Amino acid sequence: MNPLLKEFLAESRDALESIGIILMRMEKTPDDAQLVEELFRIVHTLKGSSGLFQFPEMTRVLHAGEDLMSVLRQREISFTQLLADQLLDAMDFVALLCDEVESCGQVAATHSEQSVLLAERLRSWIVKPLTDSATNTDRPTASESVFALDDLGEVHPLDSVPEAIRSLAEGRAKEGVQLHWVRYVPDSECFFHGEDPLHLARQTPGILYGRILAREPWPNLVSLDAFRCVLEYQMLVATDLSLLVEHFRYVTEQVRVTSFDPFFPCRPSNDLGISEIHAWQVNRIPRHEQNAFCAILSAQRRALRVESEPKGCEGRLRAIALVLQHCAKAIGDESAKPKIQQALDAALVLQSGKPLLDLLHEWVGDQDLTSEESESSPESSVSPAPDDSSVSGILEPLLDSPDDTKSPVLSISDTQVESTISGLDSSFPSDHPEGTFSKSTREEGPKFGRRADDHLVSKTLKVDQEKIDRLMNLIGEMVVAKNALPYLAKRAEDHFGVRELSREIKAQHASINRIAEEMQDAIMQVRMMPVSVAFQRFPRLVRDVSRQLGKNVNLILEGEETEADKNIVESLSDPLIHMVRNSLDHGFETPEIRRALGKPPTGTLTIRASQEADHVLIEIQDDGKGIDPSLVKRKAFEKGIIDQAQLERISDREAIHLVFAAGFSTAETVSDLSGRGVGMDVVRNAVEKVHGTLALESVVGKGTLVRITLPLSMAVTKVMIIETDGQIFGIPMDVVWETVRVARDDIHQVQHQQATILRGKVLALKPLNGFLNLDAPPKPNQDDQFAVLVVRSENGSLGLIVDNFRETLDVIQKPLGSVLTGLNSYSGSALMGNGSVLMILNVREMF
Amino acid sequence: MNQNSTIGMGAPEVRLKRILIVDDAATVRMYHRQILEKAGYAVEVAINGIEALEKALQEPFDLYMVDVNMPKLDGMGFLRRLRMEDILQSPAIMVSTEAEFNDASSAFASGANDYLVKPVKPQQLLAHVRLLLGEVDA
Repeated sequence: MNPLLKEFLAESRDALESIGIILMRMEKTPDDAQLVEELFRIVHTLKGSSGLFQFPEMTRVLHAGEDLMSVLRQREISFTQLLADQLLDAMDFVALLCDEVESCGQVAATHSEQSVLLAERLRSWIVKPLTDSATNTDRPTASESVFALDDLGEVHPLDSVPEAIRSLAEGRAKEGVQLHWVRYVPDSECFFHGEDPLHLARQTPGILYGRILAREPWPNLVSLDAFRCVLEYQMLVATDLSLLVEHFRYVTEQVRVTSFDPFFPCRPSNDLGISEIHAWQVNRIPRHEQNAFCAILSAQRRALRVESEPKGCEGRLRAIALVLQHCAKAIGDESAKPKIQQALDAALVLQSGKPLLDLLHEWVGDQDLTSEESESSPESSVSPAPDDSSVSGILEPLLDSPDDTKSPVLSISDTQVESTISGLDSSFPSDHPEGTFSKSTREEGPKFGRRADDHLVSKTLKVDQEKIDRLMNLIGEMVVAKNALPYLAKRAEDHFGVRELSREIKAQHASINRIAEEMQDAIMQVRMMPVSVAFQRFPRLVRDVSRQLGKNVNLILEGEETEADKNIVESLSDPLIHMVRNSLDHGFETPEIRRALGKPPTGTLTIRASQEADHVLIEIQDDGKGIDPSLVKRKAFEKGIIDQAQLERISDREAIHLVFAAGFSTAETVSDLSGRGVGMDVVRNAVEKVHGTLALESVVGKGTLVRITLPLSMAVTKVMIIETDGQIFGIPMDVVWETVRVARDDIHQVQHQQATILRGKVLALKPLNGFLNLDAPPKPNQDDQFAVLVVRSENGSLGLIVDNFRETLDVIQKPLGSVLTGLNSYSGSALMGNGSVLMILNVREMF
Repeated sequence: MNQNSTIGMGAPEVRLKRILIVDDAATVRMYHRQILEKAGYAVEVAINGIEALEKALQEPFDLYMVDVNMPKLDGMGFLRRLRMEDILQSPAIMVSTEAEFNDASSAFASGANDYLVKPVKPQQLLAHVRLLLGEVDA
């Protein structure tokens, strides 16, 4: 994918997420001006970025959103939940488009209708037209609608024409050929009149550019009448009007022709008049830089006229003078150089832009000043307007429009220009030029630079995740490589008999070990992220779901700043969502019932994160109806999860944990949200996958508390190495409870199961060999004792009979790849110091 | 014409013109950066006014291309502070969407020398940049 697009997708995802969060927060504090401001900024930025691509659907919706935010921030309307709902809908739509773009590189045309709908809904909030929509209406009399404005409603026809065509058109215009914009809207019944609109349009004389648009959003295929013409043709032509009239003589009423100003057909990006261009001989500049030249020159003039704070005045003046020098250079005006310098010197003394402005007027005239500044600027009469009268008569009022990008320099008709002018006058900022600044004020006030330095403390780097993963892998290899040193030392001593060298290697190992550990720690730190990342979705989720269910639930998030490894935090996200949904769906009562029970009608759901030693603890607590153990038992029995015998002896505490069993659901009906009996099962699996544990506490009528314990990081696993039948295996230390030696005589046969008594309790024993399908019997040591590794899971303890225990080791566990993925007996593999592979056993499978 | 074109065999070392892009939108930054870098400028970016100011104070740029609406310190604020520094008097382009330029005067008041409306077309951008940097020669 194009890197720019990739960047955009990443940026929009971030932005959409932030929008969601801010909207949530605004529901609590709707009057927080800062939040509104932030919201506006994000939507605005997103819209701006989307404009770089051809995603009209996306831009349309975002634009409407931006307009809405703009009125919101001006407090013309107030924030309501409905508004938030609609905005969220719109943002979901944008997210959908992003997904689509990511997967297939484009947006399906089918979204057009929906985007129009969403945009309209957003705009319907806007009571008063916005600044920029206002300029839309002010634009050359819309009633003429000669310009088929693009569906965004504000694109100037020439803007939508490719750059190359535009400069071609400009060239033709300079040669004296008239340019026209033709909009041909064939009669919808035209096919029955024997007309061929496409042919007619293509035969238009002098056509430079053409396009075909749908007049309205496409209906769906079923209702599309293929025999009606629903298209319109737009063309840019360079020819005489008379030829056009002749060409379209049979369909005159279906064609609108707009003629462009012969002198300046293409919109210059700014507002310098023709007369000024003549005065400055800009024709000496390469053509495509002329517009820029005019724009820049006019910008300097505006900058000089505008009043500014005295503090940065000198800097501003110098920058302007520098730009003027560059402009003079561009047209090869050598004589200008000393003049600009002189004017600058004078300006610096006066602390005013006036000398520079005077100089500028000397060159380009100031005819446009008279209209608006006669009352305030004495220099308006300094130099008379050059007498390029006829043209400047039209263009003059357009000069210095504050909204110049909008004001077409196409002269359409006198009346239209008039209307543009009046529109501009009203919105013209009443800035007064030539404010003279006193020196004293300037010297006050500390220089910002110094103060700014003080603020610039925290620096954050955004690093690609892949890079960190790479670091992680490298340190993993390092840990493994360092493990080779003790092995080497042992070989040096045993095999080669050089004890001295062995000691040196061991010393070296100690220092490498320390560095590697620190490094590993540092890299882990980089991977740490706050759990708030996983929590972010909850305010929205809780709000949407609880509303849907007609329940009132207040969400409290605590300890969001608690940090854990990125993988852990990410793996948290889904199980948490399941649990929150379950809690909302089954846990909380409706407000009526709550009231009847004497509980506050609004339930409270608390999600709390905290760190305990090397674990992260997540608690999800609700004050709902709790889990009824008898109900759970009955359901579990009905579903065949437990048998009659278990049903009778299972404790209440054990019973409620049955909700985590696969295929369990207590909900009477399967709801949209949960109740399919997969939720809690998924939760358990997800938590176990990252070596976490789950616990549940519940009091009927009071509520439920789910406690998830997760390791801080799962990158490095401590394993115990055991030996059986001549092979070695690793067992994760977090399930190893103890290692004991059991004499052969102490092993009893209980039915089909071996067992022993360990500290007064019966411990079931299983030979690991049996589990691994190895035929060899377990080997006792010389005292006829068996090595038993006591492992634990939530299902109790088990003693694994192995041949021998070995050391424990830090390893980076890698998941089994390709054909081995189906082997449930192993949770992964790791590299050992001597380069051999260690298989890590999945102890849970043995119970 | 373009100074950079003199770089070559045996030519004296020519410093690339340095341009600072200040914009909070990553996509826009990248877009402008691509255009300018392809044209042979040394481009740096900053995501808000504070960061931009820090960079400018470290080593001044030949041109600043500044977005209006940014968190922490917006474009206007950045330019105002930029203009208070004696060494930072290079031209500055304000870049933003049309809606924001209803208030173009304040852009000029804060020290902008030029402004462009997003989305900026590559040719247009380069024409402005070349002129502002004094690289267009009659």
